Amino acid sequence: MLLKTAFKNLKKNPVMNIVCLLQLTAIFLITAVMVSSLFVRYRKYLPVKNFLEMNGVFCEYSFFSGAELPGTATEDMRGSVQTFEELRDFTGARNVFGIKCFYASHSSPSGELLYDDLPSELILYNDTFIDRYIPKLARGKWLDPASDELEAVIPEGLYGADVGDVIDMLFDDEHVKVKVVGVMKSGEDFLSLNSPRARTYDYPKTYRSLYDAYYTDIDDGNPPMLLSESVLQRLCPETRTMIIAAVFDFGGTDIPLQEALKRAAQTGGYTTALESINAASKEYIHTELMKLLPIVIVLMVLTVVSAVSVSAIAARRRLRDYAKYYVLGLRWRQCALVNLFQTLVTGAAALIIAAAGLTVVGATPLSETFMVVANGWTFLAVLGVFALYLIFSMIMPLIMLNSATPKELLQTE
Amino acid sequence: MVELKNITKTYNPKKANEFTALKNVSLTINDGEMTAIIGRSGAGKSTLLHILACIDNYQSGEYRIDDTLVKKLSERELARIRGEKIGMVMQDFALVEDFSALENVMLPLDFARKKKSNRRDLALGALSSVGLVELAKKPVSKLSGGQKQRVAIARAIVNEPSLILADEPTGALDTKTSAEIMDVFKRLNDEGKTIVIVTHDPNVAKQCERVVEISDGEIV
Ligand SMILES: Nc1ncnc2c1ncn2[C@@H]1O[C@H](COP(=O)(O)OP(=O)(O)O)[C@@H](O)[C@H]1O
Ligand SMILES: [Mg+2]
Repeated sequence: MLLKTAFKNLKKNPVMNIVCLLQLTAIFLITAVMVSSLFVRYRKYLPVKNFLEMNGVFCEYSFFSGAELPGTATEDMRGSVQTFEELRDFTGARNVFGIKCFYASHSSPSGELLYDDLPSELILYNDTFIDRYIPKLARGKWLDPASDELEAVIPEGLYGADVGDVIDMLFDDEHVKVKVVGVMKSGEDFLSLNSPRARTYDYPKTYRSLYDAYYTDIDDGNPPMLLSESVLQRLCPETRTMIIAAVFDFGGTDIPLQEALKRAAQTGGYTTALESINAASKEYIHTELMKLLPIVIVLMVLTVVSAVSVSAIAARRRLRDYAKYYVLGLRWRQCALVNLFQTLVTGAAALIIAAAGLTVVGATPLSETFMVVANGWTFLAVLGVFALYLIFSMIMPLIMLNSATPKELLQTE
Repeated sequence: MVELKNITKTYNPKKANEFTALKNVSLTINDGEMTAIIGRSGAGKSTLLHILACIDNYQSGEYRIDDTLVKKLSERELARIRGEKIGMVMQDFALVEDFSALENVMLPLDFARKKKSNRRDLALGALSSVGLVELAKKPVSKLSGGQKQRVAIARAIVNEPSLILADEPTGALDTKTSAEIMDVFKRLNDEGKTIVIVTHDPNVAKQCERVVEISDGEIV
């Protein structure tokens, strides 16, 4: 019966309720966009945070960086050096997190080249890397360096394969079977440290240039596959690969940064101190947030002020109705319940509209601009705001009641 | 029987605008009586009626309904008395403006502990007894003052309460409608209901078997 009364009240006061509803929806949307935009920046930063906080050097073995770049190779060792262990021993680093790559083609099961398929880039992570990093998988598991099968993580839909399938490939001229153990969504980011594919070239270098995105539907070649470097070494030792990037961890050694940079450069790469990438990354996040902050504050203040005033007017108006219900035999507690139901219904409707709106936006290119991430945090933040709104609209009548009896509420016009 | 004993009511106690609206008021109204409360504007008539209707508090004194001390009643019991034992016509009608006349009249039936199945018919019956049945579907906000007053009366009587309290129920009505409304009250009184009417109108007071005058918060 109380629920019925609540619905009746909602139905009878459409303008006020729609205004409330739209405001709530706006607040939910703003919260979602805000949290998302904070989150997007941190989401990409967090996985590299533990790399960037190491005391060490990032080294990019670029295919095209020339001598005019700072920190460029003083000596190219790539002809003689083949493994990350050798790089580690040469530089005296404690650990090396390294990535190699090579190109291979999809083949028929009998080993003939399939000409209609462009070659795929195969990204190889060394063991320390695999230990430290797991990209976001849609299905399946991350690479296992101890596996005696050639495992791969692939983007969704590549060659029509899924977790458990085997893909026939040609590595140089050798026919190889690659087993799919994990699948990533198209468009998902993963760390490639240094990839020739389109990505952010930023200077000073930040966490953003360590990423690559996994698009299944790019035109210039097939999207990459991720494999374990050590498993490839073990199972296909003849395959020719290129070292493309490495993070040298000098933590715990007494090698000073300048010396570390010099030694890394001697391995043939373009070097940057991790701490400067980290500083630039934080600076970047900070600047982006600062750019966002005024908009967020203005929007928040506007919506909060209007929401407070509208719900204050609504609450006053409702309170007068509740006072009438009281005279006609309801208890205050029941009136509070009617109020709660009304608030809940409005709130839930606003949530649904906001969620639908976000889904629509998420499916359009607008999602790049607004960067709405439908994840637990966004959801939690929106729920938090919803809870605040609930509490607020429960407390508001109580505050008003505190200073007035039901009868006085009826008397005030 | 309702019984007020030495009731004192002060608005805004201990504040600059403190005002004592009722001073030591004692009044007994027997079952089946039809009483008029008269007095000048600001005398304390509405205040007295609100206390009788259990919707206002008071600083001292005792109020008993059928020998039960109202102060001792639980929130639940009080709500039940307000809803089912007492029918109150507020001076400003206290209608829910967004609802139709019928919906307003149905409210006490909706809120009652025992749900009657023929709530709609009962409400329509109450509306027809105040001559408003053809306006049942109309939102109250679109009704005239006199029509609103009649809706308020219908709402007060729909639950067949044994005590009907009406604050200037004919204040917004013309002489003819006033007479009709008084007939409704008289009929209810004949059925055994106790009726208390606050009024300015000597004609209305004349039709009541008992007249209580109140002046500056005191019964004279
Ligand atoms: N909520 C209130 N706060 C302060 N004073 C009030 C309040 N309600 C009524 N009063 C005062 O109490 C006195 C009696 O009011 P009321 O009982 O409404 O008079 P009546 O109905 O006889 O005209 C008036 O002087 C009025 O101003
Ligand atoms: Mg009055």
